Amino acid sequence: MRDKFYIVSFLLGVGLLLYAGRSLFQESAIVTWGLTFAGTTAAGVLGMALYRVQLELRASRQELAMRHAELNFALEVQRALFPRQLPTDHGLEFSGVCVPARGISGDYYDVVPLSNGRVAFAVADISGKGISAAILMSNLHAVLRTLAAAGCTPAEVGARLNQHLHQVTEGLRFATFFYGEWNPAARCLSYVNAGHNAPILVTSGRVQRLEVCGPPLGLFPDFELGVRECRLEQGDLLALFSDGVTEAGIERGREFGEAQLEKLVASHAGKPLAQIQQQVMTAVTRWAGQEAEDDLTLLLVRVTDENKETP
Amino acid sequence: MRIDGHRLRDHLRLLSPLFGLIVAVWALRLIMDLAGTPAMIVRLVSVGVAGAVSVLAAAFLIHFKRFGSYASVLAAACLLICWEQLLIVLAIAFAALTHTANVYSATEYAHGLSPAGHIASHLIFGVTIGWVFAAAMGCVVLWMLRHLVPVKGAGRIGTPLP
Repeated sequence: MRDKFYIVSFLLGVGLLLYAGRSLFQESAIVTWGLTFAGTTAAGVLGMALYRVQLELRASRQELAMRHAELNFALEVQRALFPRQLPTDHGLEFSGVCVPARGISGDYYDVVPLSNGRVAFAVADISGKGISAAILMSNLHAVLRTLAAAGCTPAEVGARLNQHLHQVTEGLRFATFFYGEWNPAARCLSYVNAGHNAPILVTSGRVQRLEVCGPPLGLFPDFELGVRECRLEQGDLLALFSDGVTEAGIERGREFGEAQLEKLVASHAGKPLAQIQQQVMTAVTRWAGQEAEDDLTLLLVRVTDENKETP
Repeated sequence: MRIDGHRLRDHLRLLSPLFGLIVAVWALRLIMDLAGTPAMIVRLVSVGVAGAVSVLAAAFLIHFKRFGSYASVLAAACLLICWEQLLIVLAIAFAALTHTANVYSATEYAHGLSPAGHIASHLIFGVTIGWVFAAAMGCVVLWMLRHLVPVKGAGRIGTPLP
């Protein structure tokens, strides 16, 4: 209200003054003033626009730095979820690697020594990539460790994880999952494979695949995964991997493929696990020719001559 | 007397650097002229432009210091333009009283008017039309500032200066 009063008074005053001094008026002055103020306004608006752009850039940079810091923190947390030291007793030796495609990974591998002297190992691949897949992965990790520590059989682990994942994601996300439990005394591996890439078993120079027992976890509310068993001998090599390994290069129209992976693993089967792992990862990275399009996970397991069961 | 919730003293304190800017340009122009600097160069040092820039800066100050609203811009435009015109009138009056000439009393700016007419034209048209243009520019600038660069927490209008 007060603003309106000022403006009306101002305009009235201007009108009166202009009328009173009309004989002194110089038209060129109007042009000069008009140009001066119009130019100044334009310069001011330009300055404002540039300042706005600068502010937005600064805000974007800050947001990006914050997200980067959060992502780094998430990566650190996720690294802590992967086993820091892989067990070397129980008649098995391990070597594992996970290379995330987008900073943090939706893939998962774990090796859990069990209280009954056995050892369990698992590989999973959560559908999707990035943060959402990583959150589900950490959840899967926690539940799996709890179930394994509670002495659940592979079938129970598979069934309960499936129920849990279906409940959490309401059937919208799924996870391919391989879980094996090694009995060193019987040299027997009991496993369930829920839709995961069939692991490669190299035994006495021959290549076999550990078959898939059912659909991925989380798709259906309730189903039982059939448990398979196989006997392993000293020197047998098991390669568990995620689809990121075999599908590397698919964006360019030619994927690395399971046949090539089988051949590579079989040809290096006699070498130390770390060396085999390096050979595979180098070959896959070279094949993909660029940054990984999907998370790459590889867990190598070899039966050693140590056949001791923790009492 | 309060304008937009502030005393006149507060407005003057806010605008004091801008008054200084106008005086500096006015004095520089005068000195350059007296020193015999070519008219082409003296013309570039314009008190009118200094006034316009001051009003622009006043709109920025009012916005970023959360000093007030459009009424404050009108007041700032009035004070700055009056100050600018007053300085010019002083220079013309000094030239008339001392029977000398300076850049402000030059015939190209007097448009054939007598010193008294020239002074009257500055006081009438310089102040009024100058104020109209300055106020319009200040209001446009403030409006754009509010849309382009809103100040955080600028809900309240008319916060007094600390």
